[in-house]
This record gives sequence, structure tokens and C-alpha cells, in this order.
Amino acid sequence: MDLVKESIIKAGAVTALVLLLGILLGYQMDDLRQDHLSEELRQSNLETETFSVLDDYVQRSDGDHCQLMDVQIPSIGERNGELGSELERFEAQNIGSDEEYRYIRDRYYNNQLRLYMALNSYKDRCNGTNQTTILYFFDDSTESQRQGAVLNEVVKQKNVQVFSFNAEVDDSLVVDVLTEDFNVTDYPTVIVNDDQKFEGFISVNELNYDVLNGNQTG
Amino acid sequence: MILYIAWLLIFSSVFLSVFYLSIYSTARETRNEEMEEMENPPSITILMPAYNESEVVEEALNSVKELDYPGYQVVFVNDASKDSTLEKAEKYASDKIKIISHEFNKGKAAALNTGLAETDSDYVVVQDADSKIESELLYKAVGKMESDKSLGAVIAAIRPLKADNFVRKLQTVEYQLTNFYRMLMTEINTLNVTPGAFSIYRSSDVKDVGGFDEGNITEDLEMAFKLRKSGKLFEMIYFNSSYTEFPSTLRGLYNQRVRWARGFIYNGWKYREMFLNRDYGYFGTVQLPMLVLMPALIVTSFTMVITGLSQSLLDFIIKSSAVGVQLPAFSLSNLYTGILGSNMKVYLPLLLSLMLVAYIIKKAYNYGGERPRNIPALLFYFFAYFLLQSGFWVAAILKEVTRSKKVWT
Repeated sequence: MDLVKESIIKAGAVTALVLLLGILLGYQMDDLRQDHLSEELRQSNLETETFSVLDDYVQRSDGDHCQLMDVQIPSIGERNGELGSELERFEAQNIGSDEEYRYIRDRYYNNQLRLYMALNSYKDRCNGTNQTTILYFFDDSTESQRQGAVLNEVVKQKNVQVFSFNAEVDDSLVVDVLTEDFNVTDYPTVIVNDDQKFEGFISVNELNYDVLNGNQTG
Repeated sequence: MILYIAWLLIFSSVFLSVFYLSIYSTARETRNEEMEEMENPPSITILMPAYNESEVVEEALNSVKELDYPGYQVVFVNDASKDSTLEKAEKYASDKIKIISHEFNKGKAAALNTGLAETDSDYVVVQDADSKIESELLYKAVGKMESDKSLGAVIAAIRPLKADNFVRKLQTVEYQLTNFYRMLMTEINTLNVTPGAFSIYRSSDVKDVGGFDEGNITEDLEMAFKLRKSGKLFEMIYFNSSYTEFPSTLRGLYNQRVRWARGFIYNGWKYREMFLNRDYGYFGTVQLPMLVLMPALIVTSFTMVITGLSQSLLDFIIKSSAVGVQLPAFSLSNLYTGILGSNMKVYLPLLLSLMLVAYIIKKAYNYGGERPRNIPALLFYFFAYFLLQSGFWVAAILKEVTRSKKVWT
């Protein structure tokens, strides 16, 4: 066999091998990603469930356990927020199986809603708490990107918990019910403590000083 | 879609790298090649066209005054230079060195044809007036031509006269690889160029194909196509060099490379029947398609990189407009999720591709018995030179499409 043909065959074989390695490692990474998200979600579910169960119990007891439960909220909220960011990032890169991500995302939204309701119940019971809950509905517009960056800043305050929902997802009953209940028609939309609704971009300053601080002093 | 394009780019690079490495594994060591003494060395004329080369012409003429070859002639053709090229060259006029001057500028090809008309020697050498050749190169080149009548041309490795700034150092790295690849192409008879810095031809072959094309901005490439079409092969002498003046500015480099790219497009179209044509052996079926594929890959890579960088920049601007400029916080957790978020189906093959290219660069230096001296230039060449190259090709394509005036620079 002449040198050129031999070299073409060798090059073809190595190229095919590299392709195969890339694909195999890619699938391995897909599994790792999904395992990571599933584990994070499992932990978040457990934390939400624990908080919810304790809230139910504490409602029946005579003791004031508000402070004890208050200190758990930041870490629960942080995990929830990070999980949401990772989910959006991994899904936006179109890596991995769409079906798997959709399943994890739907479970995540369920968990968020459960945590949101548990927090609201806790707030109703513990009047002294200064926790703020923010529902955030977004799409893939530039304004939503900016609003997301603002909320990432705001959430650094440990008494603010953000629950974000992508309005562009298909087949999410949770998103459908929430957007209908709060009459969300424009994106981004931020809803603070169930009663203050802001459609369109709201800046860090407006959110911090006019809304959040106003909430706490008012 | 983007994944498939990325794969196409990466796997093309892997394929080409392994292809040439496979050829390298059988490359002959020619450094200590002994040349047989010739009893009756054939006659040679060195054609030296010049236009505005006053800064380097003396060095070039000094290099051809005392070459290790009996009975050669030099025909220096001044193509109506506007500087002191002619005045400096005339000092070298002698029985051996003939100085001719055009009254008005006609272009390099015409200057070569003027010189060609003045000679009846067995061989002609084209040597640019900004180049200097090693003394024994002539003897070795003629020896190769005499020993193989199927050869239409012998070329030499090209190295810089000076590497005194970053742009020249970058080209030094580039030519280290170019010389290496041309040596490999010689191994499989697919060499496709006869550079103006040094090429030797049989006078009869050049005259038979009608001399140099005076309408062509890359007359050396056109001559190579013509000789290939007539069935001639080329060979390269790797271990003897022609030292030539590299462009010293980015603008100069841009002008040169756009001209070369335009020349390839023009000549490629002119000789399009040779593409994928088995009558021309692997030159037609392998080399020419590769030469078309390379710029397409370069421009596509550039587009993808710029698109990716632009998207990242846009995201940064959008975020900064909302919360001000912030540097990303680093933590091991972020690193882990960052790795998880990366597309390994692309990054692993890309990493392997880059490792192969790095290996080829190492082999290129090892083969020449050299070590890389210009590390910043080497790193720039490795990671970013394709961005410059794509700019050259895009400019060339636009100029050809809009039929912009061809300028020899």
C-alpha cells in the first residue's frame, strides 16, 4: 500500500477513535450532570420537606420556634437558587437529554412551589420574621437576563428568597397556574411577598430601597 | 448544528495532523546527504527581479557574488524602482552579474521574463532581491534536478533574514511549520509551490510553458500550476535555506498574505480542471482539495470563536448594565459545576486536536535541529494566528468577488 493511502487510513482511524472518545465521554458527562442535579434536587426536596413538616408541627405547639427555623431558611433558599441556576445553565447549552432535564426541572418547580408555600405559612405564623419571598417569571429576553442579574445581587441578602420560573417552558402545570393566578402577561415579572407586582425590569436600587426596605419598615 | 460544525472543524484538524505525522514517520533524513560531484556542471542563470529593495539589495547581491558553483550568471532586473535600488545594484555589475532596468514598472513576472530572455543557460533560478541563499544550495539543487528528469523545480526552505520584531518572529514560527509541511509534501510528491525566494527550473521547461504570467500577482504559484499540469514534479531541500525579508509590520503582512490568497483563488480557478483529477496523482486528488479545505476551516473556526466571544461579551455587558461590573467569584464548587457544564463532546476532541498540533510543532523544530526561541510568538501562533489568517482570507475573497484591483505588494 502506498504511503498516502496508508496515511489516509491511519488518519481516518484515529479521527474515528477521537470522535468515539468524545461521544463516550460526552455521555458520561451527561450522566454526571444528571446525577449531580438529581442529588442536589434530592437534598433540596429533603430540606423543603423538613421545613414544611416542622412548620406543621410547630403550629400545634405552644413554643416559639421562629428563631430556630429562621436560621435554616438562608441555606435552604441558597441551595434552591443554585439548583435553579445550574438547571438553566445546563439546559441552555443543549447538552444532555431534553427529556431528562425536563423531568428534573418539573420536579424542581414542584419543590420550589412547596417551599414557597411553606415559607408563606411560616411567615404568617412568625410575625416578627423579616423574610421576603420573591416570585420571578422570566423568558429569554435581554430584560429578563438583566432582571436575573439583579435578583442574584438581591438574594445575597440572607432574608430574601427568590423563586424563579421560566415562562417559556412547555407543559408545566405549576408555571401555568402561577402565571394565571398572578395574571402574569409580561416578562420579566417580579412579585414581592404576594402583593407587590412589578412588570418589566426593576433595578437593584428600586428593589432594595423602595421595595424591600419599605417592606421591612412598613 | 453548531456541535456538528465544531466536530467537522476539530476532526478535520485531527485528520490532517495524523495524516502528516504518518508521512513524517517515513521521512528521509537528508541533513548529511552527500551530493555527488558533477563532472560537467550545467549552466545556471540566477534571475533577480527587484522593485524598491534598496535596503536589502546589497546583501542579496553579495550572497550571489561567491556561490559554491562554477560558471553561473546573474541577471538583475530593476523594475523601475523609485528608490536607490538601481544605483546600489549597478556597483555589482560585472561579467558575472548583468544589470537590466525597465523604464517603467511592469511587475515581477515581466521582470522575470525580461531576465529569461537574456539567458540560454540550462537552468534558471528565481531569487527575490530581498533574499539571500546559502552557498551550497545551488549545487545541491542542480544535483537534484540532474538526477531526476521528472523534476520541474527544486525549492529551498525559507527562513528570515531578520527576526527583530514580533511580526517577524511570528512568521519565523510559521515558516518553521511551513518548511516542515513542504518537506512532507515532497515525500508524497504533492508539493504545490515554487516560491520566489528561491526556485530552480529547467530553462526549457519555463520557456515551453510560455514563461511567467505577466497578469498574475502570484506568478510563482501560477508557474507551479503550469509545470504540474505539464507533468513535472517538485522537490524541496530542507536543510539549505533561502533567507528572505519578512514583512515587518502587520499591514505589510496583511498585504502580502491577501495577495497570496487572491493569487491562490485566481490560479485555483484558472487551473480548476486539476482539482480531484486523477491525471495529476495525489496533487490533484489530495493536495488541491486540502488547499481549498484549509481556508474554509480557518474562516469557519474564526466565525465560531468570534460568535462565542461576542455572546460572552454581550452577556457580560447585559449583566453589567444591571448590576455593574463584577468579576466572577471563584470557588472549587464553581469549578466543579463549570466542568460539568462544559460540552465534553467538543472539548475533549478539541484538546486532543490541539495536542496533536503541538506535537507537530515540536517535531517541526526537532527535525530542523532547532529549539523554539520566541515563546510569545509561538503561543500566539498556536492559539490565535488562525484569527489573523481568516482575516486575510476573508479580505481576499471579498476583493476577488468585488474584482478589486490587484496590487503587487
